[in-house]
Amino acid sequence: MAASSVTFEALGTSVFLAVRDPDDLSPARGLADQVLADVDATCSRFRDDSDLSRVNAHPGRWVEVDPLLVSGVAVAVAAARATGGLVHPLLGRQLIELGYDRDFGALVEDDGSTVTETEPPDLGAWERIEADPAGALRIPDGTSLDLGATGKAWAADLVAAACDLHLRSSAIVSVGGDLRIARPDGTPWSVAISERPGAAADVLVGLDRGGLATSSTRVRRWTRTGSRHHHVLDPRTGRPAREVWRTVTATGETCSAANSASTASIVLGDEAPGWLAERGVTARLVATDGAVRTVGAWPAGTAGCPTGTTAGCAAGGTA
Amino acid sequence: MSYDARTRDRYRLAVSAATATVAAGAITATGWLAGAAAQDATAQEQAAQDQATQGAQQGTAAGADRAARVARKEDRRQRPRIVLRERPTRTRVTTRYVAAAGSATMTSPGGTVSGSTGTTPLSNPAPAPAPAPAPAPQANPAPAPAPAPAPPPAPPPAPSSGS
Repeated sequence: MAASSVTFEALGTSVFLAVRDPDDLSPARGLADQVLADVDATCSRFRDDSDLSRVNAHPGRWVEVDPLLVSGVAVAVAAARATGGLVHPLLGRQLIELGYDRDFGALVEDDGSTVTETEPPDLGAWERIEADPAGALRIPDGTSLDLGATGKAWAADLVAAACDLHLRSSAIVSVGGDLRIARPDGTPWSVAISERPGAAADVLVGLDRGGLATSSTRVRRWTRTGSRHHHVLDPRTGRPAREVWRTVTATGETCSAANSASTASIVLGDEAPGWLAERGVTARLVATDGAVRTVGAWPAGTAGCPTGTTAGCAAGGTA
Repeated sequence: MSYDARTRDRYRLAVSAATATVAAGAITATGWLAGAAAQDATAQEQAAQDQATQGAQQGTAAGADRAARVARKEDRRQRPRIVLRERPTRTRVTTRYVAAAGSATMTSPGGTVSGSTGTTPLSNPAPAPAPAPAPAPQANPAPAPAPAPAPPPAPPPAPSSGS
C-alpha cells in the first residue's frame, strides 16, 4: 500500500512530510528536497560557501547574493518588526561567542574553554540592514546574520507554497517542528506537540490551515565555561533568554508568523501571555515547572502535560 | 607613369595621412557622441528630479511616487558594490515560491486548533459506516460487488517540537 508520509533529514534537522493523496508523496518529496537544498545553500550559517557566510565576511559593505537570501532576510526583518526586535536576525556574533559556532550536531561540549564576554547587540541594528531584491545585501558593521530564529519556519512556508502550486491534494510539512499546511481542504491535520524531537507527544491537536511552531529552551543546549546555554537569545542582553517558559507553541497565518510569536514569547517571559493575547495569537505555554497555560482559542481540554510532569500541570490557566 | 621608389613613398605618405585623419575623426566623433549622451542623460535625470520635486511640493501622490523612484534610482547609482563573482548565477527554482510563502507578520490569526481524542490521528479517514443487515437469501442471488479498495493508511501526526 502506498505510503502517505515520509521523514528525512535536511537543514540539520528532521523534516516530516505528509500528503492526503499517496500519489502526491513523490512529487512533494521532490519539491521539498529542492527547496530545502536551495535554502541550505543560500542561508546556512554553517556553510562557508553559502551566500549568508559571504555577507557575514563583509559587514558594512554591499555583497551580491542570491535573491533567495534577500527574501529570507526580508522575512527575518519582518519578524523583527512584528516583535519589536525580540526576534533578531543579527545575533550571529553573540551565538558564536557563546560557543554555538557550527552545526549543532557537530558542537562539542566544552566545559573549560574561555569565552569572550558577549556585548549586548544593538537592538535596532536590524533596521539598518539594506537589501536590493535583485540580489545584494549590506549588514551593519560589527554584526553577523543568523537566520536560525526564522529559517526553518520560512523553509516550511516555502515547501508548502511549492506544494500549493504543484500538488492536487492537501499536504503538511514540518521542518524541525515548525509546520505549515498546504492546500487546506477543511479536514484538520493531526499534530503531535512535544518539547523535544522524537519525544512522546505531550498533546495531540488538530489544525485545519496555516502554520504552527514550537520553540523550546529544552533543545540545542550546550555548555561553555561551566554554564549551560540554550539557543534562544534575548537580544536585549545578548545572552540566552531567562527561562520563564521552557516551551511555547503558537499558531499563525504562516509558519513564519507562528514562529515569530513562539520565539518572542520565550524571550518575553512573564509578559508573553498578555503580548500574545493582544495580537490574537492562539498559543500554549509550558512554564519551567511544567505548568501549562493557554492563550486565545486553544481548545479547552487539550492543554496536555509535558512528558515527565505530574497530573495537574495545566493549572496555569488561560489568558 | 612609372612606379619608382619616390612614387611609392608618396603613396605611403598619402595612405598614412588618410588613415590618421580618419582615426582622429572617429575618436572625436565617439567622444562627442558619448558626451552628448551623458549630457542628455543628466538633463533627463535633472528633469525627472525637477518634476518629482515639483510633484512632491504640490503634495500629489504621483509626485511623491516619482520622487521616490528618482531617489531609488539615485541610491542604486551611488551604491558601492562588492561583486563576488564566484557565486553561481543560476536562478534558484525556489525563488518562485517566495511570494506565496507569506510573511512573518502576525496580521491575522492562523488556523483553528481543535482537540484530538486519545491517540487517534485526526488525519485518519472517517471510519466506514456499519454494514447494512444482510438481505434475505434469494434463489439466484446476483454476484456480490467487488469490495472497495481499502483507504490508504493515515499518516502519523505531524511533529511540532522545539528543535
